Amino acid sequence: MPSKTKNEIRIYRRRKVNEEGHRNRMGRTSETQRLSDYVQGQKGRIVRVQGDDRSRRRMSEMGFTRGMEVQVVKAAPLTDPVEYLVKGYHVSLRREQAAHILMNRPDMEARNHE
Amino acid sequence: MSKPITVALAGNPNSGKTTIFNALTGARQHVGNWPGVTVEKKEGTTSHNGRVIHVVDLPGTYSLTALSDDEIIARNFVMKGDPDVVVDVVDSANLERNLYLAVQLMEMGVKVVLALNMIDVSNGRGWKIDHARLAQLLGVPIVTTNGKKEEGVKQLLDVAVQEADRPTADYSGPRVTYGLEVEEELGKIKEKLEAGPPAEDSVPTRWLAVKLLEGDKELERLVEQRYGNDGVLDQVQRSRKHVSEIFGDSADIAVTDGRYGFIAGAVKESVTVDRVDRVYLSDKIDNVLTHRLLGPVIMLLILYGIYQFTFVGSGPLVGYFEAFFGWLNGVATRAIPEGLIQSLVVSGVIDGVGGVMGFVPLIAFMFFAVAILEDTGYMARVAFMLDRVLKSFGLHGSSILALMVSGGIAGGCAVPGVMATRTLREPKERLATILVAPLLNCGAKLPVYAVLIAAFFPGDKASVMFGLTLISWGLVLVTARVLRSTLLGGQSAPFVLEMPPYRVPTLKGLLIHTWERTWMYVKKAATVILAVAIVLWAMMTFPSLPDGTAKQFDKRIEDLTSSFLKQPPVQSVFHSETDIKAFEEYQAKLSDGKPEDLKTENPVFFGLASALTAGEPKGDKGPAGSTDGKLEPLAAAYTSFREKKLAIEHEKQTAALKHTVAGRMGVALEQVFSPMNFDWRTNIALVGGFAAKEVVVSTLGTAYSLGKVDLEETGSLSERLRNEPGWDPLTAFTLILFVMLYSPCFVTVAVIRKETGGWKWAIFAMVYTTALAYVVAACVYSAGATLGLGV
Repeated sequence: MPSKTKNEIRIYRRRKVNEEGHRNRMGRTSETQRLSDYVQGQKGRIVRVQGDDRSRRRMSEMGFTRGMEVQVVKAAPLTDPVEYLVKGYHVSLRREQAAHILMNRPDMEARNHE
Repeated sequence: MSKPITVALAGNPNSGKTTIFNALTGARQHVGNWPGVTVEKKEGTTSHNGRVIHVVDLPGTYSLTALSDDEIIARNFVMKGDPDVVVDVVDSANLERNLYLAVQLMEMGVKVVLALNMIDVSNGRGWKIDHARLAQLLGVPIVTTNGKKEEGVKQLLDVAVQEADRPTADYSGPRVTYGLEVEEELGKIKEKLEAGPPAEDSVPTRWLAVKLLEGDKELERLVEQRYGNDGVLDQVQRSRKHVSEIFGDSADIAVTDGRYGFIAGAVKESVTVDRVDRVYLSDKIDNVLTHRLLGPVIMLLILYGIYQFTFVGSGPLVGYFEAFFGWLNGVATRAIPEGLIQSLVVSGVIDGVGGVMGFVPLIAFMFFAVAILEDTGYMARVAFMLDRVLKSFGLHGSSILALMVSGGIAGGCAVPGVMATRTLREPKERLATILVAPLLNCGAKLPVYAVLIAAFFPGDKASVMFGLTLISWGLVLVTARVLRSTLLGGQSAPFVLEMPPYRVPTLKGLLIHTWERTWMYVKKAATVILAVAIVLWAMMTFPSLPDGTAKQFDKRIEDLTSSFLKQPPVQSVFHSETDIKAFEEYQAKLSDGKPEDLKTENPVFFGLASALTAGEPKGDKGPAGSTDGKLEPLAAAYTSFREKKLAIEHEKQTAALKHTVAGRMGVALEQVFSPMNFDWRTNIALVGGFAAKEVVVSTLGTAYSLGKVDLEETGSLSERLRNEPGWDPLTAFTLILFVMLYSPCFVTVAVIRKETGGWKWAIFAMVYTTALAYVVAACVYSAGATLGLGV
């Protein structure tokens, strides 16, 4: 997308996310945060997994279930996808997918290295 | 007691299932496809204490929810295939998620044995798994294994046989409970199910109830068939609604939660952690290999290394294969008298199949390299690093390997490239990758480029090649984008990519992997490819020249010969045609060696041969010092005679080619290809190029009366084309683009058919690439002609 600046993309993405947030009956509240907004090193617990049936099912089978602890390991060199640690194993999700996972406030602040 | 047993091997991807399968069956494996789908089915047989054990390797899955072909296959086999026992291979270093599949298998009411694999890894991490306790909590026998060292395999078979022989009784051990509300609804569904007709299969009604509550579409259809519309599905709808209201999330999530809850409880009670390693070795390696800056650099080096390994490493072996077929060609040519049969066997069968079999070492090397990437876990990292780029074109991170192998760096091959897409799990992305891979610059297209570049762009070879690489990549990505937003549009499967820990692969595993994939290719060469090779040969042979025309050519040769024989310097040595033949044979013997013996045998012939070689610039190889001035006029006359004779013979070949079906197609295609100014000769070459793109060069050679052109020596063809009217740099560039893009060679088409499970996509690949080639070539030619570029 060469015609859009990075900032425009970010704003566009926010808006899209917000629209989805409104549509969802039990969308995010001020207590929750999207997994895609977690930064490297942060960890927290899953409050809810959103999205269509198929992808929610798949996520839950891979261990992304309510109450499960998830930690951000690192982002790919081009910032997407992002690698997570869940149930003791490593898995990567695209950001659009991680945006469907609502988390509580992260337990720890981001590590500063890297 | 000697009844054979069927064991189904289940497990997550990356659980070491394949290693266990190899350890169980060794080389006694059979690879096929599951009926109706393109998923590999591997089977093997072993015997244990005199019992014959048939092992069926199920596709690696995380679950059995019928979300993908893999899951449907695994589930249906367990449900209907009646394995006596299911062995579930569990990665003990990733216990909870691996047990999710195990719990689903247990719910199906089949006998399950858990193979707690990679026990060395979990031990090494300081985890103590009390497997007796875990077995008790789960209610299934557990055997610890280390597939890599083949430890525990015997015990695994002991327990599997024991379980298979155990009389089936109602299962009374522990089972997953889903909480009061869910259990109540399950009870209601079960009641409705039990009120219906008795089931003919052994599927437990509780499992059926759970799956229905989860919203399993496959089983809903099954229930509808069995019970009609007598309220089961209505009850399911009510229950789903009720559960989702109470639970605050849909029923299937409630069920998943219940299973994971059960697993978490069992794991908590049976696993103790001695120490907590903060950072594992695998993570340390990963910090370097997927580092923001270093990662991509290392990846490029590794991909380049694979390219080198595959195409340079296999070079000597490919050379041996080619030499073998060259030798076979020679033997057949000598053994079979000249004529149609010889032409069929040599030009059709041996050259056709040989050209394809020549790829075998290359493919084996490529598969070996891919096996290393897969078995070490690096493949997942490549997908991780490149997904962002490929995603924007509708492809998947894992597409990269297939594209590189197909010719992403000029010189690949689409056949192993298309096969390498097997690592892609998402069907739409995989199909898109398969369809665009043949657009890249495979090794067979390079000789065509070489001839045309040498003729029309001398001095710009590197920059033209670089430009062509960029053009092909650009078209690959754009085409993929277009395909994914039209034919292969719609939502893609969620991207959930497991990043397994790095592991050291076993040589046995790598070799088995390589062998079974290579063997599939060889089997193909023996069947489809042979048939197509013969058809193409026939097209370029029949109908042969009418007798009258052929005789005209023979007459010209006769006239030429007799006028040659009439020349005074000739008459001293050659009296008749027989003498000319004898001299040709003598020359052939001379080039085989032993000049001294031959010199005494026939000093005159020897002198003439020397005079002829002396006339050539590389005359130092010939027997030197014997040229006396007398033979020079004869040598000159002979040389001019040979040249004229060859010219007539080549003219005859050209006329014959134009007369064949392929030739007529070439002429007919002149109309079609008028927008890019291709004449009939080019068109025949393009028709022949469907067999393999390098055939374009040799066919052009025949069409331009140069005889067969050796791929290594194309200088004469380049020169001929440069001086030919109707050829200019623009035509050449247009032809290069057309060759780059038009229909994949028939081997690739056959492989696409195989990999996509039918002719539909194979034919589509031929049609769309040719259409794309036509449009691109026509546009480039007319734009170039309008702007006056390169004409």
